[in-house]
Amino acid sequence: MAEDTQTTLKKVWPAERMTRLPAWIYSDPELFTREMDTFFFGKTWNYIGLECEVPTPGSFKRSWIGTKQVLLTRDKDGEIHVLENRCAHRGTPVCWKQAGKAKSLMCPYHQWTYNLDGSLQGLPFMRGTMGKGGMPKDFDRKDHKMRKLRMARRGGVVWASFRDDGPDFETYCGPDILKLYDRHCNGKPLRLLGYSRQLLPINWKVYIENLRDPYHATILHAFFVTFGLFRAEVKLHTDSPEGGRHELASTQYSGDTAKQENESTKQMTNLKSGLELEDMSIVKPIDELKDGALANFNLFPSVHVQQHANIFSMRHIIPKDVNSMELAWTQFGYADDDATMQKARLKQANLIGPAGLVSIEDGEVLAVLQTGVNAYPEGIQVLEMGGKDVNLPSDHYIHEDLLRAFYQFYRREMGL
Amino acid sequence: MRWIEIAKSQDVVDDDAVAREAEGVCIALYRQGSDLTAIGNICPHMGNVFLSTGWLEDGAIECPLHQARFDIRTGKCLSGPAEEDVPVFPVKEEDGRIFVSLDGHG
Repeated sequence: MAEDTQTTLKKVWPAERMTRLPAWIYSDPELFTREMDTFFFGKTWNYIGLECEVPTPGSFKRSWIGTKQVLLTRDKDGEIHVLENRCAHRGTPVCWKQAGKAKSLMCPYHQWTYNLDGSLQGLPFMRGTMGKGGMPKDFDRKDHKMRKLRMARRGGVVWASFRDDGPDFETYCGPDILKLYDRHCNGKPLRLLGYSRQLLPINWKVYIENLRDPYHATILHAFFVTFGLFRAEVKLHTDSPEGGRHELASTQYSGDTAKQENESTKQMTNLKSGLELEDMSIVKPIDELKDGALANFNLFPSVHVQQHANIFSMRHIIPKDVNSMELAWTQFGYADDDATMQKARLKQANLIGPAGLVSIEDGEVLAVLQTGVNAYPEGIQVLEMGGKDVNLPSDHYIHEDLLRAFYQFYRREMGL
Repeated sequence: MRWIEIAKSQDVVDDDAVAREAEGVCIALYRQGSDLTAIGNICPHMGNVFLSTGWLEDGAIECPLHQARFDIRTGKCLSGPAEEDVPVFPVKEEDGRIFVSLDGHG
């Protein structure tokens, strides 16, 4: 019989700290609250949106930092702001729309009305009515506004932080991440191509782990292997820079990799050979960045920045509560893309998103995993693939060093 | 000029706004000493709000909803959030009766 029941479970990390993960970390509400404070509301930079999503004065887009709603706005003078979506009066979210254009933002409850820079335009019955009621004489509208967050912009992408005393954005990213960041978000004006969103019934860390798990990529994602997009013998460069905080992965792709079968692909797939795509162009990218590379990175905690062939996407990680999160995908290209390139991006985007030919499997398997860890919080998971410590950077797929690096970082930040 | 009777002189006193309607047009009457003026009574900002229910101070009427301010003699918007002025109507007073004209305000 297990020593710990669900009511007496001691919430500690197992003694083999690097190679064991306790399952209660995926279902403990108190820990979740602490993670929000430490990471999403802490000294971090969080993904908000693209500048091209708020193209003209009056444009706004709702976004999230962890469980907190924020607004990305462009005011009447064309300045971009990130505001807490919270009425200064009673705390109601002021804006209830995903995106739009407006001269002002009005809270539905008492109609307090704000400019797009967050300043308070006015409020009903400030002077009372018929000589009665109203705000006190010393009430000054300038003292009551939607809080503006510290903001950073780079390469057409907007970031924000709840903390004014954290590092600047570039220091937070570090040189390795910035190198990949600037590779495709390079200052060329971006064009929004579309969105997809999904609610995943999982703890947000399960998704972070999935991004850091090359071991599953060639096993779970049969599409990759079957059509030659991923092959275990191709070198995969991975690292977890800034002390395990972020994660990056890059690999080389050549136009003729697709649909090359060899012994290793045959070993790695259990699908019958002979499957064919009617339209191979979905797996034949245009080498627009002229380096033949596929590169992705997780800019912790809020986003996975993806360049897979001609797919540019932001996977926005939005925790809702301890066992659910939203994954909001934003697809984009460059403003000067011609019709061919735009079509290539949209076609390849069928690989990703809630029903993507590749991503669909992650959503399904992770949802099932969560039911397991919820039911067995006393469970202990093993992370020994590739060794017992952190050997990074790595140049292959079959390891869990990125997970060990993450949890080393996580335990340090959370004091676990 | 076509004049429409809309109020009695005794109804319009200093430091008060009097709301009237003339052929569907909402008008507010204001008196400041010897000056009698008539301006549009709907805030152009939002919500079809009667300005006459707002705050009258220093020759300006302030919208009760979001505090846009208008000069009661010229209709000019003095401070936001409204971006337009309100119209001014010709007004005259004869034999204890007040008339306005909608000419030019179709």
